[in-house]
Amino acid sequence: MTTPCPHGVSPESWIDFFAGDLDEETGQRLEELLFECPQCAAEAERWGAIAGSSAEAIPPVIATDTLRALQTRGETITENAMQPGESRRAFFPDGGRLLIHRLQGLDLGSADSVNLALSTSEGAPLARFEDVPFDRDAGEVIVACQRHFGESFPPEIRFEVERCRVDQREVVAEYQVDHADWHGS
Amino acid sequence: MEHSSDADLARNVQTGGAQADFAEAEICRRFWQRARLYGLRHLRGVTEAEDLAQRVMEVTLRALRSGRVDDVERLDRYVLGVCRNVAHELRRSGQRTKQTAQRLAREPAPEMGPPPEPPWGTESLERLALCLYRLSQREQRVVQMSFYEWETSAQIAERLGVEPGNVRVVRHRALRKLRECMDHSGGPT
Repeated sequence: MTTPCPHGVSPESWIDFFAGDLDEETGQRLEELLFECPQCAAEAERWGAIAGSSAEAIPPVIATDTLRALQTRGETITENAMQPGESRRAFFPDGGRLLIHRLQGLDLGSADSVNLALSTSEGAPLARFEDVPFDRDAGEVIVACQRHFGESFPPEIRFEVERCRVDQREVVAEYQVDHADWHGS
Repeated sequence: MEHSSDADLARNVQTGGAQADFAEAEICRRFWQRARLYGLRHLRGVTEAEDLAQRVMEVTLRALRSGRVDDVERLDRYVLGVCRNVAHELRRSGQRTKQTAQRLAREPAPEMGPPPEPPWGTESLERLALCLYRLSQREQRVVQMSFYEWETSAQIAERLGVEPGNVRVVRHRALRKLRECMDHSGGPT
């Protein structure tokens, strides 16, 4: 945690500062505080880090629109389309950071929401993402697997897609991926 | 050295000697990130902001070494002034101008250490990616349009068919959530 800014600059002002939503006078005042007040600078640094990194950071489960936006902005991507029950080795693109697992063949027409659970190939839980984006019509969940995830996850991962309807939850499909080139293997 | 005032550090650089290298490193540590944030606001791009920060530190250290900073008591103001000049130059040219590159090439580039670590450490990006997923689709989209496509609230509002004030509210909420997530765990549920 940082020491609060003694000049009373609110978080919203710092957010507006980076989003370009401040009038000239207020913007200049905050610029001066950024340089003259170490506590303000520390606070600004945190908001700036979030703003500046948001462009590079990609959520682990993404919507079709987000995938399209990533393709448009020129990200190097390998796509790995899978059907329920499949197990496969998959590779990141040369020089690229994104391996997209398209978990397909899902009956999500009546789903209220969808969860995604990650576990090891032996079934030990790794992570759980609730209410993930999904494509109801295409019956698909898109996982944006990123090279740096390899620092936190083992190469072999089982994905379980859970369909939620009112008060019912049901695992509707499993997929297994061996991320062959994580950890330089 | 890290408890020295900006002015003491500046004087150490000006006089040279054994302490000068440490003083330069500490000045970079204090001001590189601020210059980068200034660049982020004005140049609206991460690479451009880092380029500006690098150049601002080079210009500042050269000026200190050659005794061209009159009031070392206000080093912060001086660095801000350099930021404004460099940003103006970059905006005017749209890129590095040949003249600037030539002028900088005439003087030896100061040795600079690596940029300081981001506030949440080297795994910031990984943590932020996991935090981003917790936002709603609309919040994610507004964050992306704001800080990747660098669109104004008015432009975003037009694309999403909402009021600009609404875009700001969504952005404030989204960034507060990200900050909270980063400050605490940042991991998945």
